[in-house]
Amino acid sequence: MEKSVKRKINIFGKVAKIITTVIIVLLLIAEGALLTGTIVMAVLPKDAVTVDVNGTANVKLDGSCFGFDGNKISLEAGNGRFKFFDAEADSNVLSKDGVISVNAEVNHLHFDLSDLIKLMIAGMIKLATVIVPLYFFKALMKAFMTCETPFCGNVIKKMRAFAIALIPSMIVSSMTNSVLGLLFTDSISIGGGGFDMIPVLFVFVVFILTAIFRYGAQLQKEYDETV
Amino acid sequence: MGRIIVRLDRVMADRKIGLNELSKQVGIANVNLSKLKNGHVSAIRFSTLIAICEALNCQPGDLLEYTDD
Repeated sequence: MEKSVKRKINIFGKVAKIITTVIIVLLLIAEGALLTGTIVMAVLPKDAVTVDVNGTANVKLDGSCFGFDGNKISLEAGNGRFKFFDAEADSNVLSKDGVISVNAEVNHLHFDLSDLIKLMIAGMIKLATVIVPLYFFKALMKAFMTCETPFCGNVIKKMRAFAIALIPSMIVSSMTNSVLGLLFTDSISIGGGGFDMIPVLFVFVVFILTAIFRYGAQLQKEYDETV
Repeated sequence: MGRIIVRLDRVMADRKIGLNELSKQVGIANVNLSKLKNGHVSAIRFSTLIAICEALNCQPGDLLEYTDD
């Protein structure tokens, strides 16, 4: 293989490895924050935060649970009034009088803190299914960074591991809408917007690439053994 | 299944030529010529065979021998 081509592959692998490492670190921080938030909410009373959506959104935060005696914060959306710690909001601006305009059309739904915990757990699972494939992707990029030829056993092994690690992520990404529906409404939807085909196709492409690289490795071996 | 034995070392000894000198004349790396001499290759290009025959003034049959194991 030409040295310039090999150098480009190695550099690409190095850059991709660095970027992936940064993303993994950020995602791990987010995962830690979600975990901490979940634990904090788990120890609060179930009705510390309740949301009743009934044509209008009515968010009530009981201040006593957070150490504020006699303070209650209420939000009524639908009629354009919002009050939060004596502040007001108009679109995205908070002011002192506690009024904010919020337009929302909703059906009757009741959420409490346990639902928020479920949402955070779902978020943690989703993040985990992203972090794990990224870790294997980083290993693949490291293999490209150090390889003499991309058609070698180490690269193929890492590529296959990445493809397999993508499968849980593919399942979660494809069915996220259905999972969220199951968590909050005890119903599940499959098909149409509830099932995303793109992650499935991506996994297939990676598996096919692995097979192609395996064939390339075979050709490389025959080439190397020819004088 | 039979195999091909490379008799390069025999012809080199007859011509009294060393590996380094032969690799310079043929134009392939010392390590590859050594692999060829020890039978650690699976294929040889005609161009390489031509270059070796020219350098050693021999025929391909002098270098390659088929044996039925």
